[in-house]
Amino acid sequence: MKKNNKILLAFFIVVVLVTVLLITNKVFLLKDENFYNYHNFTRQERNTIDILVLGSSHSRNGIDANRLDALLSEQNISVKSFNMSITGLRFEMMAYRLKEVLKTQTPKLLIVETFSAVPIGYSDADITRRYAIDYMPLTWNKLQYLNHYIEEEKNSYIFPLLRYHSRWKELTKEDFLVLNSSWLDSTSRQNGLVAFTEDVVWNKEDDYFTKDFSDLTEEMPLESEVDKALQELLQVAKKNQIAVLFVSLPFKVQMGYTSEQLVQNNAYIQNHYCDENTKLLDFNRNYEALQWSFQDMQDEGHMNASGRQKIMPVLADFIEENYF
Amino acid sequence: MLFNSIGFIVFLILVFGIYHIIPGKFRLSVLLISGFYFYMSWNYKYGLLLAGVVLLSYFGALFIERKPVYQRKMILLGCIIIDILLLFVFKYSNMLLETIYGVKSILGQTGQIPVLNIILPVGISFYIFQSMGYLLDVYWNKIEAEKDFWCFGAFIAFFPQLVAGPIERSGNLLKQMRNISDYKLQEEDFYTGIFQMLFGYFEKIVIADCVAEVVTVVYTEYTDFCGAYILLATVLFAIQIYCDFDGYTNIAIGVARLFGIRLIKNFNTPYFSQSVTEFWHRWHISLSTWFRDYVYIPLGGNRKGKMKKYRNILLTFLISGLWHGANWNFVVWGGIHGLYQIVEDVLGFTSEKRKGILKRSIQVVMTFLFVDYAWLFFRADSLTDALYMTKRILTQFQVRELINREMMIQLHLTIAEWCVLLLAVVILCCVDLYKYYLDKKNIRNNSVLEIYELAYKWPVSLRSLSIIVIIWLLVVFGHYGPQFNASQFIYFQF
Repeated sequence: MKKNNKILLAFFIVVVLVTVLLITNKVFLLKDENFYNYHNFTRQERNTIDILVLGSSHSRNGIDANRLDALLSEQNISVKSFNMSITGLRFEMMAYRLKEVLKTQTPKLLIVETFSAVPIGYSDADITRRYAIDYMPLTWNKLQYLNHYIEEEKNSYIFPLLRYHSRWKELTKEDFLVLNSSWLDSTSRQNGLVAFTEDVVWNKEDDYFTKDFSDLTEEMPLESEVDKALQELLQVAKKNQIAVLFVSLPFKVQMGYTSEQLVQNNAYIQNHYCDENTKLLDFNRNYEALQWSFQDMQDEGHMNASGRQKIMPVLADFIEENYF
Repeated sequence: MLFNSIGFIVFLILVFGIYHIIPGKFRLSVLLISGFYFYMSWNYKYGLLLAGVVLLSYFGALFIERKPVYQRKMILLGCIIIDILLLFVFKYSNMLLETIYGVKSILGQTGQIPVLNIILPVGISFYIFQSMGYLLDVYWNKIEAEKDFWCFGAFIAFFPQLVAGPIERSGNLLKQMRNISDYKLQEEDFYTGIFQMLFGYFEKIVIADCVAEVVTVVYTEYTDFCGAYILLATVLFAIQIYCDFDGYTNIAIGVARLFGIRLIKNFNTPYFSQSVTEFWHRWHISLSTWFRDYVYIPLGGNRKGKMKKYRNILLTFLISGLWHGANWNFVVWGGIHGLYQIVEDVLGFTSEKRKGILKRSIQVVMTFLFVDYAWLFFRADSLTDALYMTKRILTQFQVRELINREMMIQLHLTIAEWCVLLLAVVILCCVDLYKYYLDKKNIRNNSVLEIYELAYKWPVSLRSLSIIVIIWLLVVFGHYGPQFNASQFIYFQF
């Protein structure tokens, strides 16, 4: 075989192999709500999102982007919101995600859920990072993030098939739907909200929400790594002229981190980062004002549909008063 | 830098590219530098040890060649003693201390065993044996001492075989190194190398690392398992260690071929042996021939009567056991193999006589069972564990437990994984059967055709498609990645 033909053959083999592996990668990725959330986002028209929500599963369940748009519309504010919250999202991942969002969208307001201030030791960093990163495309931004935060198994973050290849034994029809270009249209997921079952109520009488943290003035500094990540997030927002609203949604305890601790972390955020364009709305300070009870929760950490009904109008009013 | 890591693949592509682009006269330097880089990727301090061994053997051989007879012996002895001392310090010092304290405790003296904080450099036994073989060859005038330092350095530090062999002879590898500057990459070498590497990866990540999960569970929690499971795990360990080591060897030989180097064959379908003696002609061939040439024959071999022959066999295998690891288990394992061969010789049990297929098959199975029982001592953490497991096999076999669903779940594999494993083992058996057949054919035709060379004869399209399909299968069905506690090759620790 001639030398040129050999080079062409080698090139052809590499191209086919990479293509096959990329398709396999797509099929083998875990198809959970975080996966659909991101792909739903990619289907949004360019520069149409005005309010972007970033946070953990608390805001994924607690902030209904469709409802927020409707409530603001009643006040003659026409905006489009998108909830990009995913399981266990922390501040460090938010800055990375926001940078990705800014490639196609120009949000004017960023809602940041402060449960993401949870200290790193409280959550499984690897798993939550994977929820935030594995579905995202390989970009310079992603490589920078990996270089900064990931020490072990970097390769499997760059090429997730290295992690998910053992899913061959659990693949279902749903995994192969991604090979069809219209696969996402068949899903009902809108504006990023992926709420838990509507009628689930926390099946446990609990008087935790009779507590009142209104007078709690003591602030608890954020963990230094978390603090740095928050500063980075705020810098990105500031650079792109995005106003920021910190929101702390009602909960009791999650991963050993209590709402009382969060209120103290919120006080720190309030004192150090809030200004004209950056405000804080803390729903955990005074449960009585919201008439909050265990019936508004579906478990210790997440609210249910009833809770969402209580939260959304307050949030919409706050946004209307302070930002539009 | 394990062969089954992305880092190694990137390293290989880079070295391969540089090696074939630069002028031929620089190739030896590329091989030497890449060898040191590869070795130091485990621990940069290892580089000093490797450099020490290279320098010692290089200058030692030059002196042996130039000095008068009485001085040659002294120099050789000096070099060999230093090599053995290095091995002893890095590998056997803790074993010696444990043994001394063990004996003391038997005698009623108690005390804390001091553990020396010495990290065992990977593959130390392999390159030290290779350099000792070279020194002995020069001393016996089998070869001339190598004058070109780069050539000699590349011979000792050739990265594909540096950490787990095959233990090369100067007569083979050094000769090829001398002519490496004229080599032009051949299509046949490229494809044969790639296919041999892929088969090696198949053995390692699809079979060995999958089986390792089951074996580890049973051997760690052996008190929870009945004799049937211990036997099953021991049979699986026989598959694991074969696929692990043969897999490594195939990758090493395949990689070397990409550089135009042909390493010696290290395995030749060992589990088709009809006697333990034959097994050692087919298993880890580079080591067994090393022991034959540099230990067994110098001890007198089979030239001084039956008793001395048996003594020499036993001694050789006890040393071989010790070479494998700093633990009395390995010595016992070596001893068992030595005894097997003595018994075979006493009973006149050889595989050379022509026999019917049924008789041959029975002998193959019997040999496998004997070899497999010895693996139990090799794999167990201590002699006490090995003896306990033997007792368990003999007294609490409970074959019915093998279909106990709860027990099977404890083995960490799903039914789908068992099916894939079974299929992979069937493929392995078919390939080995074909190798066995090809070997017989080669002997008849006086040829040296390798199974991997057959793939080169396929049409280009089929070859290309096969490469893509095999890589895809390895990626999907291999055991690796963050969810898998990647195990390094078993023989690296030796």
